[in-house]
Amino acid sequence: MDKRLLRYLQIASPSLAEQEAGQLWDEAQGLVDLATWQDCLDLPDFYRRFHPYAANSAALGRLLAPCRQVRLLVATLGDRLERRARDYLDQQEAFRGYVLDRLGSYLVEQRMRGLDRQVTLAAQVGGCSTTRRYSPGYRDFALDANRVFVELASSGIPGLELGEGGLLRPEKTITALKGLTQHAGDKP
Amino acid sequence: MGAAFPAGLVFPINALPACQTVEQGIDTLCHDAELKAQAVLRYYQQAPADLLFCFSDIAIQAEAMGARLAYSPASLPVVVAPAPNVLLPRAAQVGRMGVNAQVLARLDSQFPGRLRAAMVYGPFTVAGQVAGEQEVLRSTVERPELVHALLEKTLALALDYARLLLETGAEVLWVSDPLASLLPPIGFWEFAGQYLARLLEVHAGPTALHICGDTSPIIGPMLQTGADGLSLDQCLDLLALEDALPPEVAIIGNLDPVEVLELTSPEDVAAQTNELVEVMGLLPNFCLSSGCAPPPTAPLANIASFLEAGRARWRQLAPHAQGLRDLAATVHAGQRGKVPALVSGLLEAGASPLLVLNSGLMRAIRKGSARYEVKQCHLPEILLMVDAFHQGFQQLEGRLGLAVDRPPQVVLGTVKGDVHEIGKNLVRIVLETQGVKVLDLGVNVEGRRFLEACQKQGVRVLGLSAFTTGARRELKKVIQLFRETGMEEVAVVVGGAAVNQQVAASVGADGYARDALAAARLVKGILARQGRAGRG
Repeated sequence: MDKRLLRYLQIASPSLAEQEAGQLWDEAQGLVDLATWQDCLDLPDFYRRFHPYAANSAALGRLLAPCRQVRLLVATLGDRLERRARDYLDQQEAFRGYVLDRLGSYLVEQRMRGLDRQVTLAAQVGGCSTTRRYSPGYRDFALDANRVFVELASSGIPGLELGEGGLLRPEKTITALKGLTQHAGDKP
Repeated sequence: MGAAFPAGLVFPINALPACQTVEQGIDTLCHDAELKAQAVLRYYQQAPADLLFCFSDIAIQAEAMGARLAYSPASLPVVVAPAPNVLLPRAAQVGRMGVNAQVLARLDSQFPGRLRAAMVYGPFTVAGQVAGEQEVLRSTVERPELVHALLEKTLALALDYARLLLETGAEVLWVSDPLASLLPPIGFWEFAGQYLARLLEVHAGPTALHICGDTSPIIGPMLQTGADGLSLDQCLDLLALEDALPPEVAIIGNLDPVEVLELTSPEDVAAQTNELVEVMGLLPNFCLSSGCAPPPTAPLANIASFLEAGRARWRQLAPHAQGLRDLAATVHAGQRGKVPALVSGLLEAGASPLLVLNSGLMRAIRKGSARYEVKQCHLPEILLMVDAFHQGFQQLEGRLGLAVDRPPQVVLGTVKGDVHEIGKNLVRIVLETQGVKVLDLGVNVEGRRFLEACQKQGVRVLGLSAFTTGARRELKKVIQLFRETGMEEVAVVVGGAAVNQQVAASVGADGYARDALAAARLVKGILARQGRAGRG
């Protein structure tokens, strides 16, 4: 297995755990129903749609201050993987349940990183620069802001729902935004 | 190395509670060979240990070298002033050393065939007493040559004293060097280890080395001294260290001499002794002992209970030790497919299901937890062990006679507004592998449901999981609800990605656990304390 992934899982190599995790890695790939969604809003429109969550976040305000537009990103693995992980735990298979869950987190984060890179590169080509990625739940940007992501993205990602406390279903879903400046010279 | 340290012995270190068997005080006992012999003989009649000591106090060598001691009837002599001039007498000419030699000789005639220990204190400890601990520790950095000069002298007397005691026919040389654990590990060999090695060389027979405190960073140099047995302090988890000790070196330990042997009842001593033997008695190189010397006030009934319980449990264990070792190693390696056959083999050989559970399956989990605590392994490795445990436990469950409907000891759940369950489920699984019955209320649980469950079931430990910052606020509400409704006796433990030590404190939790294993350790500690308080 990839050394970075093993480090992420905190599994030594070579080991029985590595062998078992390797099988789970294969299983995880088969349980992924990857879907992504993107949109771009002008900054005033972003604040209007994400009211009051965006306006209430001083940290987000600072991040987006030099920006003209905001790129919205969603990546999800669907819910088959997390259901399988839960099944393992219900069957008292703690290792498989835990590792499969971690692999799900790893995979969805990888996908989101891929989207993040795409947006950054596209912005560079267009002479813009981007902020770092920011998600609901970071600092004072309320998790409830996921409500707006779900409203906007649910048509593109069937099955995406808002759960209790602003959590998303499927759980292996990441929502994020990136600010875009008009010109590279306005780099935040 | 000398001869192999005899494995399978059961004994407390030293014989200090012997002072309870005579009317005279310790101050008199220290100087009177006849009285001391009488006390020690009576002690070992009531507490028939496998290795006999002569009631030795830690200050005996320092006094001989000029340090001033204070004696009292009720406590051991202590150094009150360092030596103004360092003396180097012959041991045979030091009155109190002669007393100890005479007592050892008497032990041989009274208990023929029983092993006796010549107990000597290490050169570094004695140097600290002779010149002042702070002074010596500072000098290891500022004037090391002075420390070495002093250590040569303390070593010379220790060698002479050891020879005097060994001449009585004592079979084992026992060296205690408690102050050596104050040295930084990097300085251990220079200022303690090399001198201990020279001291231990004096005896061709078995030798043992005891150093108090957390000696895990110096296990390597302790082995390098050539000691045939290492006596380890009660603060150490022997399971975390056993792989570091070669099979030819005895692992000696490590029941708590104060918290258990002095301060609990004979029944509690027996229970704790059983637990230690169930875990460590599988090893062919284990000796059951105390983690340090039981104090003079440790009840004789407790010492006797320790010896009796230890031997009895060991006898039950012995015929199955190899099978249990194999099972524990297999579970620890996470090889769940091999577990059922090993469990079946043990049961067919007549091992009781409880023994298979405690000394086979549970031992592996405990060892994993101990290694995890000292960062020798990570959570996934432990979870493999947990899965292997379950393979075996399924075979035993119906035979253990566990009450299926026994009441839960812990209520667990993820608080309202949060549906994360993986971490919470892991806590439940790990707790259950450790014999703790859990009522899992699931996710998104209202505070009132936690309260009702604890009230209805009489549970006094509540575990709350929170993954999101919103759920963090809910923690505080749940805890307040418990406090406001007179359920203060329920200990609330919190964990999850949204929680750390500071958050736990700010919401008023009684404990915080960063992961499933830490949670299990914390909860078991709380249950044990609650159990003791309930009995006491």
